[in-house]
Amino acid sequence: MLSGPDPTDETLAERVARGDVAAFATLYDRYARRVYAWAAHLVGSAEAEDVVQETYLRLWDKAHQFDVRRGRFASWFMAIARHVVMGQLRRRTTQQLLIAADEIERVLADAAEPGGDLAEEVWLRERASALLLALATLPEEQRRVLVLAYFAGLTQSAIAAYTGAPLGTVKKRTRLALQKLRDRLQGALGSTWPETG
Amino acid sequence: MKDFEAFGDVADELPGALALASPHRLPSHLRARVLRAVESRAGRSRRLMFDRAWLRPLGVAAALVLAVALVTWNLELQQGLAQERSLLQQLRDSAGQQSVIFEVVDSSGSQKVSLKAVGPQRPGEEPPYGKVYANPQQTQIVAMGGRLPAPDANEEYRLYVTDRFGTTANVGVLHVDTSGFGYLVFDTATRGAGAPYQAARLYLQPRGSNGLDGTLVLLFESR
Repeated sequence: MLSGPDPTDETLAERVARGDVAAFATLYDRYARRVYAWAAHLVGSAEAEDVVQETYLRLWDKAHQFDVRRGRFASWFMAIARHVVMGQLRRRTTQQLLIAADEIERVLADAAEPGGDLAEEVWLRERASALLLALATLPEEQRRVLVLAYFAGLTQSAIAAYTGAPLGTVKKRTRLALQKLRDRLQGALGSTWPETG
Repeated sequence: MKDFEAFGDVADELPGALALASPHRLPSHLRARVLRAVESRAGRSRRLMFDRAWLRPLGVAAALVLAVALVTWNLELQQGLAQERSLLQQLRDSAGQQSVIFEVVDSSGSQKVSLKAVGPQRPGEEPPYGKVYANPQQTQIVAMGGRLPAPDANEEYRLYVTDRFGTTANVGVLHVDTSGFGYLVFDTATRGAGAPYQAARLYLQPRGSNGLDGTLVLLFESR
């Protein structure tokens, strides 16, 4: 049973490494929706459940490998999630990925106000809401390369081929998009935003 | 992609932003399913650790038993060799240059069996022991014993051997000197003399007895 002030992700990860199922459950509550939504858009609801389970089983098995000196838990865990999601995408055609990416881009562009049950997303809300608003205000071509590269896992060469833009332009748009998001988030959240880049 | 590593603080939050905007809701039953899977895995890990916890002392115990067995076996081997050297020396002292004896005993092709003491021993005294040698190229067998108590005047030590065909033969009387050593040479009239033997027995029995009676003193039995 966890008590007192909310433990950090890093503290919870250390407990998971020692076999603490309660700490594991807390990390599930904090991050499962992120993994599920991402996977559901790309592989559908049924397979998204498998992706979430596989991601969390890997967390359980590899928690002892997490080293707080090398970075935040969120970065380490989302790298695991990304690996599992991309593994599922290997069976998809590029056309299927592009359709899914279009849907993700539409959802992000239309999100003037975050939806969903806010009580469920207290922890997510502050940073994710700020990022969502920043994403919605990005130029469409920059948001598009970001979605194709990050969520759908396409290479920059594949994005260039699909969008018809030169490879250098794709690289420039990606970097510009990320820089603008960082600037807007720092403006919105100030010093609370962790600088790891 | 290197840009996502360089902007990790932003990239790591992208799934969170999508989760807020997405119509896909995390199914409530999934939490229980994932926790069940992890608890099952945790249970297996605990069982594995429990099993390993038992394996270690078992391994140590097995290693100890093996070490004790090796030490015991080595001691018995050393003792057997010392006894054999002692018997052969006494045989040379007693038998002089009887060449037939040494053709049997010293031949590399000879087969030998060790006889061990039977029954309770007197406290503080080393138990008696014996050897029987047979050379497949010779008709004679040579037997000897050491540390044998001197028999009463109306008793004698007599050796019986059972050959590989199961036939038991009265080999003869083993005369013992004052040191407890004795030997005998027996001509079986057959080369190899039925070796290897199934059994050899030395009895302390009344003089002139010709059967397996009296007290069994030394025994060899093949396993």
